[in-house]
Amino acid sequence: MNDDGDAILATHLQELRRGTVVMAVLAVLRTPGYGYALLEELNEAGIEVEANTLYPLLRRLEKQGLLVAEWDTSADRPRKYYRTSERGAAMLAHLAEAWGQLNASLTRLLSRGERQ
Amino acid sequence: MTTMVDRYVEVAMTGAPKRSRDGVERDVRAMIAELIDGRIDQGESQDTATTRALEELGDPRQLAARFDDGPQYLIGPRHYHDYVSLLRNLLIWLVPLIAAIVFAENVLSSDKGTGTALFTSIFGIFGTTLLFAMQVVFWVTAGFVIYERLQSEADAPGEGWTVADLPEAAPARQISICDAIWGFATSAVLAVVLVLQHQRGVDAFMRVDDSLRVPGYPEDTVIPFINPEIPDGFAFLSLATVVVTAVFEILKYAVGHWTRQLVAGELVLDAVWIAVAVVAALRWGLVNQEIATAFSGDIADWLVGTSFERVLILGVILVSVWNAWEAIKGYRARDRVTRPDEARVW
Repeated sequence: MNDDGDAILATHLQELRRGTVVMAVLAVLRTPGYGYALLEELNEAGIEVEANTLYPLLRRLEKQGLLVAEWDTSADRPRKYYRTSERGAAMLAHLAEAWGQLNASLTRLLSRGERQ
Repeated sequence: MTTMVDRYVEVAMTGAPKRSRDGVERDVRAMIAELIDGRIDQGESQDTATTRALEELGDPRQLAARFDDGPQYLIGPRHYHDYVSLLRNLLIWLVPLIAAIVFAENVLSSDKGTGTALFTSIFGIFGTTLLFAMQVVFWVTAGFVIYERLQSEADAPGEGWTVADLPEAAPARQISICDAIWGFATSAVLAVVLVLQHQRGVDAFMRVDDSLRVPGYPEDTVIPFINPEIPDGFAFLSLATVVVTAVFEILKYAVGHWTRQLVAGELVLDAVWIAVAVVAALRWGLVNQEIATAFSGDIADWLVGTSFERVLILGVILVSVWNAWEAIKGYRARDRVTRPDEARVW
């Protein structure tokens, strides 16, 4: 694909992924964790996300009440760790359901397209 | 922490709103520390880890923007169209108006009213008008910026537009903004000039070389261009005609297309113009005969002569007939379908 096509693909892929990061974060943080560990786990799981996107997202989700943050002051420097709140868990359930429906719809549309 | 991190945080926090600054700064420092520690655990040295972590985060100002919840623009898509529309409409009407006012004020206030004052005032007019336009742009923009921020995000979705909000199908615009401005400006300027020449005389408009003045003629005499023997009533009628014409131009633009009433009004006005000019010329004479007495020279003689008067009358008749013809033509063409780009105002 030429450079133009690469750029267009990149923007569409970004749009595609953008919606799923929130679900992934809420899902992983059902087990409390630090930002860096979350970053590693997401990337290993195939959800590509960068630190300068993830950390602001964590803060935003905290403000929306979907995550609960606490400061761990036991180590030599304070570290912030997050976990999914009850509201966040409920939101995740809704999102997961919607995701399943979207997945089914797209699968149908894609297979219909192939037959034609 | 190394000072490089401090420098990074300093840049990121520049311009951050004070109240959220502490919370954000703590988060940012914790984030940086985590990233550096993570890299050190993977075997990088302290310095390498610091540098790589900060570069992974990227431009601190852009990072700060991501932490900021506020809109990263002055006027968003929701209000942008209204903003541009309002600005355009205001500038179209106000800028020529202000230019005309400044022009009149310059001419009125200059003691000698010579042609020099007129010429130099053009620069003054341009400068003042430009400053005025800048003020309009600034205040409209500021107003919209504030309005944008007062609107909460919850208002945005579901504004409930229905087809009932569509305006009634309007006939394509036939009277463009250029027509309207031109018509209004010429009428308005003519009205101002008529008044001025009566009060201030010919001197207000033309630089009259002293050598042209007839010696002994009292210098302070006001010498109007239009014959002052025309009775006041008739003079006011003429002035009223000009003013009504100016207002009519605005009305024509507001309606936008030729209706029966507009055509009738246009025809009446044009007839009045011709009548006023012809009657004034035949009964009293248009040009002030005193010009030939007060000023010497061929130009002065020509101005008071019949050929110039005929030129003036002919001019009025031509313009009036032209306007009338345009109106009739426009009215007959009003139902013809126009392409969208033809229907654009400007």
